[in-house]
Amino acid sequence: MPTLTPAQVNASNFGVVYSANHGVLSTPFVTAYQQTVGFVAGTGTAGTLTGTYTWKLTFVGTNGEESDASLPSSTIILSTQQGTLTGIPLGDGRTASRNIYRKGFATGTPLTLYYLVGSIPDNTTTVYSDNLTDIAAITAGTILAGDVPGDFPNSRLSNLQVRFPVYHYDRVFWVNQNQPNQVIWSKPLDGFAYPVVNFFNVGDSKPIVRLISIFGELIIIKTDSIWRLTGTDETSFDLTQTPSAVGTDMPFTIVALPDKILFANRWGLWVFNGYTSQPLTTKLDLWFKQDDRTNEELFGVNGFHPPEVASPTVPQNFDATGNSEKYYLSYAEAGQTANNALLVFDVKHGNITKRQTGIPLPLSLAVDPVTGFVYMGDNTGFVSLLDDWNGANSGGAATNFDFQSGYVDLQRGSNKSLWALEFLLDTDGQSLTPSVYYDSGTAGETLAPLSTVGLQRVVRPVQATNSRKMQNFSWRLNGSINPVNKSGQPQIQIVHVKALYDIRTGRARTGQT
Amino acid sequence: MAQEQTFSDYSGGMNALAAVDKLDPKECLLAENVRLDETGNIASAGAFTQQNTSAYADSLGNKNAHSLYWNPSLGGVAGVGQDVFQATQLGSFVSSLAGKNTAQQKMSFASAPNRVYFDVGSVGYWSDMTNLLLVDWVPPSAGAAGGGFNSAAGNFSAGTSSNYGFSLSTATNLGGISSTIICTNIVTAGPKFPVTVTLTVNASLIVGGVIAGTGTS
Repeated sequence: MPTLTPAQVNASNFGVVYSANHGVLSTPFVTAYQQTVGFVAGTGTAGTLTGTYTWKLTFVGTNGEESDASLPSSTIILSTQQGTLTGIPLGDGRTASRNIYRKGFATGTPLTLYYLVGSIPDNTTTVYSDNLTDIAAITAGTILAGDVPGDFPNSRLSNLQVRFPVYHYDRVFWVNQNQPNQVIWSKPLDGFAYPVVNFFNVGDSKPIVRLISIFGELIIIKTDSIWRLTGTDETSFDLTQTPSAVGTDMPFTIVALPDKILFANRWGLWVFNGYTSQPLTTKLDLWFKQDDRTNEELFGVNGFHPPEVASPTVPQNFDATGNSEKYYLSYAEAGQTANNALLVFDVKHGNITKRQTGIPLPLSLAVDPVTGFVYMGDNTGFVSLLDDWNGANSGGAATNFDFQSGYVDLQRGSNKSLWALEFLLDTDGQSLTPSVYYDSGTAGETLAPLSTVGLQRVVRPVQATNSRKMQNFSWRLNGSINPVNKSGQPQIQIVHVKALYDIRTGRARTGQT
Repeated sequence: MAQEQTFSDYSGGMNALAAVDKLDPKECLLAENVRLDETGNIASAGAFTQQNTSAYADSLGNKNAHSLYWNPSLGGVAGVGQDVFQATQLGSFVSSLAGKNTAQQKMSFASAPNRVYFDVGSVGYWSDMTNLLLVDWVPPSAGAAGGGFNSAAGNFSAGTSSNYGFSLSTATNLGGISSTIICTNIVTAGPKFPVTVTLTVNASLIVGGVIAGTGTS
């Protein structure tokens, strides 16, 4: 038989062919064994190495990350020779180079650990000749991760179920879904290496729903509490619970702004300031408690239905994003199974407005961290820029403009006669339909549409019976607007509304005729 | 005597807590697609403008863009149906990971230098907009000492003069090969004894595509 080189053995056209002659008896059954893919160490040409060696390889990523090491090669005895590695595997797309480590066993060789002896600066070469002396390897002094006590291998994430990643102090932290109150994290600057010691459990078994890197700390939000991981590395990490009395089970409503974290839970909107949580606004308290005024006191095409909070799963898909000005919350209205409405909280001014409801459904939100622009992913396969002041319409369709004032009681306790409403507005030729509702919505009337070119005053008299004896009234303007902006200018602008009315003088009932 | 009252500051926005007739005059019951500007005026809100001209959909036709990430210095990632789409522009996403998010679970994202990490069906992935790969990084395989063996089996009669009649790995860096042949003969007819069976097996080692040696048993 010939003497085979490693390259020959590793070649694709290496194999064994059998032929058999067995007459009329049964068919021979053949089982073939083929060594798995992997690099092979062998002896090379004349060189500087003398001793008994094994090698290990690692993949190196484009950001300098390093994979876990291979199993060792077979042991090779060299005598003033080079070591030859063949069949060196190629890494996947992240691989920029491959590192080669060597360990020596023979007497006199000081490589008692796997030392870096070379690198293949590409992801194509499959052979390597190792001729670096032991002393040179030791002088360079790079030892394979995990070979030194106190250091740990660049262990794989393997099949661990993980969610909610965050980048914090050059490490990638995840929530372990196999144990949802557990956080794991990578080595610094290597998001592919997860030492087995890099984990901690946070409180009891209630799940962690989000990790946020802010204030130089890792904020860990659970369903009922908020925790903080202080420190900058493994030697200084310290986990404590904050005084926050609330958490959330709506992971995607959690938004980190530069100075605060905003989130929603089933009771309202909250702000975490780094120490504790407080309500972001009280204006939605009854709304979160399912007080639906739609079609009772509040009208409009879509109304303002409260969010779904009873379902154990639907609110977990609520989504939010934000910038230094606004917090956008995408939610499912009560009874809905997917996000179908969008709320905007103005962080600077504290006011709340709505955005388009219905189709398309605002399933996901994201913010451009540079411009602060907000994008929406919907159920029709589109990604859209929200609040596009230069955009003309709502995904090709007209925009529903709907505004309803509160019920105005011009002189509390007295009946009033409302005669007319004067609108100072500019609709740029588009039509808005005014409506007036009386006495907290018990009656109402629709007025003639408004349309102006330029800023104009338009008076609309009211005529309903209730207008002459009302306690309070609310006005509404609604229109299907297209375009909604032109040359960066909103097409609808309402400056003021003036109520023209009389007080109806009351008469005491004295019993006299 | 006729009176008038002007309401000119609507900067308060919606209030769903106060009684409907006790709202602050600046507040309102409904403000949909409305912008409340800094001067108290009411204006129409911005539009929403689609970034892609044709809808994204996974291979099953699901169009739910349930997850979205965007960083202009890197690119964007979207979970659409069961697939993961990505590109450097929001309007040019392409499916880069198909069928892995069978439950269409919302994904969460973490920006890192030249990377974005995310979960797909609770499995860790990352992307640099060129690669979209598992975070789990399989290390290099070692051949002789550390490697295992693939095996395959079959009836020799199905083979030809150049193969076994069944498949082995076709990778280019296989470490070696060996085979075991078992011939089981069950006599069901004819004289019981003596039975003489002769089995001759020839094995040829193929190196570089040519026979390097032959053995016979």
